[in-house]
Amino acid sequence: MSELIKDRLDNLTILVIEDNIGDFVLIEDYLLDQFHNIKVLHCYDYKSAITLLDSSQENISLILMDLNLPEMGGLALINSMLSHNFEIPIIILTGYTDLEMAKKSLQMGFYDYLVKDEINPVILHKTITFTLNRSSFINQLEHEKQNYEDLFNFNPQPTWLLDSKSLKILNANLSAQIKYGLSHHSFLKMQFTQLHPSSEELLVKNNLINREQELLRNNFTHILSDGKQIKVNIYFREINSEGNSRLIVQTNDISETLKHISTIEVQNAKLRNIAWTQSHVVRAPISRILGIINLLEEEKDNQDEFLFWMNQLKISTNEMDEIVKNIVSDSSSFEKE
Amino acid sequence: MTKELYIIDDDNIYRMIASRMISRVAPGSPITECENGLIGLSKLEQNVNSDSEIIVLLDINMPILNGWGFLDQIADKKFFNNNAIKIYIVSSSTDESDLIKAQQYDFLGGFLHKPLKKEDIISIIEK
Repeated sequence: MSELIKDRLDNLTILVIEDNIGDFVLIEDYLLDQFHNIKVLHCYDYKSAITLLDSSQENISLILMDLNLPEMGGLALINSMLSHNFEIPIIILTGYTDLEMAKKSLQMGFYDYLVKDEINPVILHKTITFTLNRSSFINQLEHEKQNYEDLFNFNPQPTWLLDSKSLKILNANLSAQIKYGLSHHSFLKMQFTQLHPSSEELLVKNNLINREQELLRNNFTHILSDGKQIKVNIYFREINSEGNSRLIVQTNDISETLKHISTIEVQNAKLRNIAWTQSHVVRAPISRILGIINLLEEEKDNQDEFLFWMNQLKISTNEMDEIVKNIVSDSSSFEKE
Repeated sequence: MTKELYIIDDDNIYRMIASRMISRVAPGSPITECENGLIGLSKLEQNVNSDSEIIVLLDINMPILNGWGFLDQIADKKFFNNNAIKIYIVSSSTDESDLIKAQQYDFLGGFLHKPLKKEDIISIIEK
């Protein structure tokens, strides 16, 4: 038994809606006998019960309700109670005459029924414990379901739920609606492949239907409602929902990333070019200048040659000056980008 | 044995510097200047039966046939059967990839950086 249920059994508040005082006293006796720390509330009719439930002053764990109250009974009473959606489990108290109606109430969302003539403390205890257990599990499931729906709806990535055979869109989250500029309603009329240009439709269809989860070339085009095209990665998983095979599909817009990569590639090419120039073009005149200087040191007495080599030095130095200027202008064109 | 030198380089100032330095280190050695790899090959082929030891100073970046193309042709023509030819790359390049590429030619005598120093020439010729 989970801690939650144990706690609820230890701090039980039960509302009994019963117009027959004799029946009420009997049930109250059984309850006080079977549960510690129990608080029993009593309402004589439907109206006062609703008032009490609406006021939410009491943290009511469970309702025991007679199926025939002064102002209302049977199906009308069942429907009225359900319409309030109090999220408190209800157990019907009934006589043999209304047994069929009590059975029907189970299909409509009531938890259980007890035939008044058969009630004894043990049955009452068992019925209440089972009901609290079941309602606790059902509440947990409902919460989990809500959590998963929120995870889907508020996921920042555009996400869809598809029928795994037809690829019809069964659900599209908020992010998909905003990103693609299509309403939930418009998405439900589409197949997922219709988001792609016709040239990609077949490829995407095959990938999704054959469940090729590692897509060889995960770079697709999607068309938004305004006609703008974006590049996307597609990720998907097969899931089983309400007995049907479905696909959860997410897309990731990589248009910006691709643009950045191509900018970086252009810059890399320029950098490589600059590096090559440094190594080959800049060093050519430098090495020539150094070579001339080496030679001048060897031939310092030869005046005729000296003027010739000086002139060569000047030519090489000017050549280098041009090269350096070009590199500077190449590099600065970079920064502008 | 006499040593014949071939300077294969498109930079005529470099060729002048190099041949001047060689003349100082080894006066009287014949020097042939070639503007590119293709001219270098044809001059070498004319001289294939020479008894002399042949030393080639080869640049990498040249028009028409560059240093690598020249080395490929030399490898194809099996100039090395007599072992009397030594080829040195002399380049202003400090590019790592050029050094790595040069290592693929196991018959190379070495990789020298411009500017050529007197000591470089002495060590080549006296080897």
